[in-house]
Amino acid sequence: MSLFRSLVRRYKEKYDLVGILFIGPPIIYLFLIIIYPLITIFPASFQEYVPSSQSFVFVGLKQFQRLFADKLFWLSIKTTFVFAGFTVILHLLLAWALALLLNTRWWPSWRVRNLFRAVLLFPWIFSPAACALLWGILYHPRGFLSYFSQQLLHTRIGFLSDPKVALWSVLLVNGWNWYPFYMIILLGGLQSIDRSLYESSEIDGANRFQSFFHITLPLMTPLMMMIVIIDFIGTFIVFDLVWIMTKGGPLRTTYLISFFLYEKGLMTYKLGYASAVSVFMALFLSAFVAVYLILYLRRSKV
Amino acid sequence: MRATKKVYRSFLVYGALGAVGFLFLFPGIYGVLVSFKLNREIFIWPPAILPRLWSLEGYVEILSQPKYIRYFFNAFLISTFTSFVCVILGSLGGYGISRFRIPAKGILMLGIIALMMFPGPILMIPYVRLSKALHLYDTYLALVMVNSGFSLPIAIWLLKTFFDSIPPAIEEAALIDGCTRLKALIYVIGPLARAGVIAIFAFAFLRTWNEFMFAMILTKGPERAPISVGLASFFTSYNVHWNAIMATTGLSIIPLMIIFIFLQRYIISGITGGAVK
Repeated sequence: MSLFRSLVRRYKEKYDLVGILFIGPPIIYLFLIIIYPLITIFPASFQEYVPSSQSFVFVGLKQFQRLFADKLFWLSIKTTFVFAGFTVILHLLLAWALALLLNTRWWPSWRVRNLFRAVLLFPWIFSPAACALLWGILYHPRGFLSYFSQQLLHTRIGFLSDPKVALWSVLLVNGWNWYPFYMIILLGGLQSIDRSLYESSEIDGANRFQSFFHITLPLMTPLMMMIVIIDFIGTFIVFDLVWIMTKGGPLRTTYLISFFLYEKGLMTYKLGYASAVSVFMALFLSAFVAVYLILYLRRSKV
Repeated sequence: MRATKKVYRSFLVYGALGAVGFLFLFPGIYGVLVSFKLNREIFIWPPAILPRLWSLEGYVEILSQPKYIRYFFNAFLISTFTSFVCVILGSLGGYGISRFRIPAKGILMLGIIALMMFPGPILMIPYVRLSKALHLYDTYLALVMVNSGFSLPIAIWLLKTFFDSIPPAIEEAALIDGCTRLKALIYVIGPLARAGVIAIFAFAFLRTWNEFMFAMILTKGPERAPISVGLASFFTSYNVHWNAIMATTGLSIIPLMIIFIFLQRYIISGITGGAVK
């Protein structure tokens, strides 16, 4: 008991006791809702679920061996990489172009600029479900884009039914839905660059391209890398939009890793196997999170 | 001569801006127009942008079915409660980190940033199993808990940055007057960090309203499912007409549009004030 008291006293000298009462509830909440469920997938991945007795049997690393031999798993990984990689590129292209446009000095007035910013931000508020439907009617075999493709290319593209096209169709919708988020972050970064840097480079005779490549780009690189990581993680695990639009089809050309997880875990109840998929994803993505944290620490120190 | 050149130039600029804006908003604009079309003219060939005859057929079809009203009600309830949980717990956490000496504060802060990027879908199996074991499957509470859990890290972080910008001297005066820390937070600091609280409320509401995957796996029907699940069910159903689908999509955007129009400034501060800044 006296040991306890001396511990409390020593704690009080270094820290505030009341502080615990404030951060305690949110931390316990996060622990119960995110950390605890996360922990449970690890032991589950070493087990096999037996539906007949509703129990788990320890099987060691067997689930992982089966996972790495599963062709469907590798197919979904490949598709997910293509999807996430090109989505990040599309987001960056759109976000950069529009953030630079919003950041130019030739805007007639602030009001016009802010109105235009609001217009460009708008697609972000649509839910994945709403996006799927709005684009679903454009991609419809009797919709607008089919009509255009027939007029321009003399062939009707099956945007969601052609195995060669479906992934790119969905990718475009995802690009449209999320570019505003990254545009706003880049715009915030551009606005925080010291104007005097451009002025002095102008005096030195640098043109716009030179000042972009020698001032803007180097200063924005850390922010851009953080965006790439956030976007890659977010797109790697995407489920909603693609699920609603294609359910993985046609011919599994849009079959992402999250669908594999869903199918194994919640449709066929291979709980141990699906937990192994979750563990794989958690470990793979935690590497990205670690890089992000390092970048963050570096950035906040400067 | 110079004046006409200027007029000509600004005409060009506004024209270009209008065209870009129209292109980016086109799916939304077209959706609204389709919602006012008669069912028989939606898929005429070649497709037309404007309805020939403006009608409310789609809206009548949707609003006459109580199922869809229920989806909206559920989404509203879940999103509102989620926002409240995020504001309350976020304020406590943000204030705690901002004002007190806490063990392992650096690691705690890094942990919160890491949780902002947490890949939610990897928890789909534990969530379904836990919610069934705890009899929370197909309840509002389960969705409020999951959604607030995923928005809480951002709430804590954003409110911490807001509290950091408020000088501690302000609440010290209140503390000397005999105010407790909690009361100082609620009555003195909270109102000063109003912008942050509004941003979190709007942000959490928007995210929860739009969230689909957890809503799909943790509910089993229109009784408890929010509108995102209702919308998704359209995509493969062949007995609802496209004008009705677009009407529902449009209606589902209205609350977010209100938030967006009035609170745009706060939402932008919510995005940029996150971990990247």
